[in-house]
Formats: sequence, C-alpha cells, structure tokens
Amino acid sequence: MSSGNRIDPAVLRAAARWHAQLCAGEADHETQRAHSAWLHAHTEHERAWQQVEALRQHLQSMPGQLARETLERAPAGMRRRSVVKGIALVASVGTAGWFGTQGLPTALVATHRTGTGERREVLLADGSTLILNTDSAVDVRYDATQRHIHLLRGEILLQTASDPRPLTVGTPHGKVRPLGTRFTVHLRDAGTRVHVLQHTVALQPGQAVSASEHLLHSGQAAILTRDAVLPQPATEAPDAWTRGLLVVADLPLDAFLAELSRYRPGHLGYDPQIAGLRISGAFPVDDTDRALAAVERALPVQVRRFTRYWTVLAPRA
Amino acid sequence: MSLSTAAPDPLDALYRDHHGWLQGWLRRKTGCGTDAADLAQDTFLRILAAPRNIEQAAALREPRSFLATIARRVMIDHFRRRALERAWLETLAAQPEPLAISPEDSALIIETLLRFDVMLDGLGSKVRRAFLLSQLDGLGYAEVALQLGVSVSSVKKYVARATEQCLLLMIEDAA
Repeated sequence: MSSGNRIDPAVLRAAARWHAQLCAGEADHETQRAHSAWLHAHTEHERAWQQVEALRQHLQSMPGQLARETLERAPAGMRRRSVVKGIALVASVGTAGWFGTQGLPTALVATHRTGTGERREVLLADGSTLILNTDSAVDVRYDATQRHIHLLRGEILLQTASDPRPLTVGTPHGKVRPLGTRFTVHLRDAGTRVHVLQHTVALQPGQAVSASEHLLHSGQAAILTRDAVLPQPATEAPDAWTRGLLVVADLPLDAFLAELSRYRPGHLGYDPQIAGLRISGAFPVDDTDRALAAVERALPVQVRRFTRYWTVLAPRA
Repeated sequence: MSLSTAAPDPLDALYRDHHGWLQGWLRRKTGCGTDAADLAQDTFLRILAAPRNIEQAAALREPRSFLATIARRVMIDHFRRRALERAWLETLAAQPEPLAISPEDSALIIETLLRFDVMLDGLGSKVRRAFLLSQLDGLGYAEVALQLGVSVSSVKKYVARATEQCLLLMIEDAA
C-alpha cells in the first residue's frame, strides 16, 4: 500500500516508460543495470515502481486472453473514470498468477510475491533463504558484483548465506545490510521495522546526512525511517509468522486487530469501547476466523459479520 | 493495495442512522428491491474502503447527500459490471473447449476487469489494444505492431502511455 504521499507525475511517467522498456523483451544486462540505477537514485522512484508492481499484480490476477476478449467485447457506453475502489480487487490477489505468466520478460517475473493470507519460502541463487509473509512482494536483483533485494510490500525473513558479493535489502526508507545473519524486515507506511534474530545487521536511512550506519544486534529491533533509526522494544517471537502464528503478550486489542487484519482480506473493525482490552496468546494466522473465535472466548466481545469482507468486533451484548 | 484495515467505526453510526433511507432512495432509482439492498451495502463498503471518506462522512451535518453521491457512482459501476458480466459469459461460451471456472473466481475476475475498464477509459483504441495485447495476451511488441499496423516503437509508446494513465489513477485512488 502506498504511503499516501503524492508522487511527482514526471516520476510516474518515467516509471511507466521503464515498464514499457522492460516489457519490450530487450531487457539485456545493460538495461537492467540502468533500471536498477534509476530505481536506487531516489526513494520517490522506488515508490513509483511499487505502483508498477501493484499494477502488474492486478494484470496477472486475470486470465490473460479471456480478460482481453471480455474487455473488447463489452460495449463502450456508460463508464465512470474516477475512483473505483475494488473490494474484490484485493481479494483477487489470492489468485495472482492464476493462468501463469508465460511470455513475460524475466526482468519482471524474477519478483516473488504473496497474496493476503499467503506465505512462501524461496531459496535464492546464493543459498540464502527468503520467507515472504502475507501480502508481500520483493524484487531480487543479483549480478556479478552485488546482491540486492528490494522489499516492495509487506514483510520478509531473510537467512543469509555467505557469498563474497555484498548483500543489501532496500526499502523506500533506507538500506539494511546484513552481516551473516537471520532477521525480519517489515515495510510499513511510517517506516521499516527490522528485527534481528541472529548476529548483526547495519541500518542506513535513505536520506542520512552522513554515510554512517546504525548496528543492530541479535534480539534487538528498530524502525528505519527516511532520516533516522529509532530503537524499539523487542516483541515476542518476531518470526512466529513463519510457523503460521501470531504471538502476543498483553497487547491492546486495537493493535492486535491491526496485526491480524494483515492476514485477512476485507475490513476488520471494532467498537472504540473495546480497543484497550489486553490480549495474550498464540493465534493462527492461516485461519483468522479461528483466531477471532479465540478472541471471543478470551474477552467479553462478540464478532459481527456483515458480509464476507466486513467484520466488526463489538462488546458482548 | 491492501484493504485490510482495523479502525474504530464512525461508520457504524452512519450505517445505523441512514442505511434504511439509502436503501429506499436506491429502490426508487432502480425500481428493484434486491438491487437496492445490494447497492446500499456496496455504498457502505465503498465508503469504508477510503478512510478519507469515513472522516468526511463523520464530519458532515447532513451526510445523506454525500451518501447519494457515492451511491450514484456505485450504480454506474453496477450497470457497467452487468455489461462486463455478460461479455465475460459470452467470451467463455465462445471458447472451443469448455472452461471450468468457479463462480467465485469469475466474480473476482469481473471486479478486476471493471477496474481496468475504468482505468483504460479515454485512451485511444490503438493505445488500449496495444496495452491489452502485450499485457494480457503476453504478445511481443513485434507481433502487436503487426496486428495494429504500426511500428514497434509506437507500440512501446502506447504501452508507456497506458501504464502512465493506470499509475495516475491508482495514485489518485490511494491518496
């Protein structure tokens, strides 16, 4: 999801041109390098490219030729060009890659992604293990001299393998440089949350005045923003999601629901009266209905479902 | 573009106070009770999809004209969706081999089609077709150029043009 910040239309135009260029099927090494350079040049470029990623995800969620024929068959007539918030568009992420992506240039299929409620483990070319949490997307670019992973959306866990080439994880907020380690990176609107599980990683804000890095050691957490590194208290089992669990200790219900909603398509609302109730436990993220049932048992609340995509928690009557 | 949200619900009050009125208003417009119930529900879903809308609605002394504005848009999309649903069924029927696509998948595909139908609106027919052939059929630019009777560099320009319009509208939606 975009941070809501405007993106300069000129940057969007440049991103659109890069997209057309990469789709031309002539994405040789030179072009990819130039594209990477453009992408790294400015965080606004990264944000624009995230939109291209999102666009491609929507395109790939449709059965290619059938979709094109349908769009051409529907009579032109009453259309409304403006805000269409596709409720089901979000849900359609689950069917991404549905009819395959044959014929797409490698530069664009090299990206790994998951839909809402999905989780995926990927073994990278250097032997590193990458696990994507729900609703996440990364772009992996390895070449002769460097290894670069762009986190475009969501959360990853990375267990690095040793390799002479330097490895960086980039987000719109800055860079994360692991020093032989296991850690999680979670991209959020306000900043990138990094949690180190083993050894050390170095953090560098995108707009840092000096080139100095902030070191984060095993068991430590921090939020990386565009101009600062903010130390954070460590949370319970930050990698529990890799086992399908959300583990919390004495968390306010509103914060808990914000976490749980990442794994669940649609709206998960609550009555402000119950926002401050505290909750502890391990909850299954692969079956959020079951997690909500557990909340109902633990606290004086009841779950009201209006439609499949609209659920609200209210005080128990 | 996730729609997962967790927030307190000023919408609850809006729903309680005006849902009945909105449904009546829609019944008069469409002449159909079932459509009106669905459209009223969709109107509220549309509002909660944009936090900006919820704040706006909560701040209004008379939220009914705001609800009617959103409901009008929902109605237009509803009729456009019907047209796309028909086109989708016709496309499936025209396939040489029968395809097993579940109603759930069909519904999701139609929602996405609707979105693209709107985003590509207003583009020239060649721009639109070049984008669809390259992005949905996965044809190379050379083949698209052949089909459209234009140069390969024109196809590239068309794809960039259509991509740019989609990006602009996506940003507008997210803002």
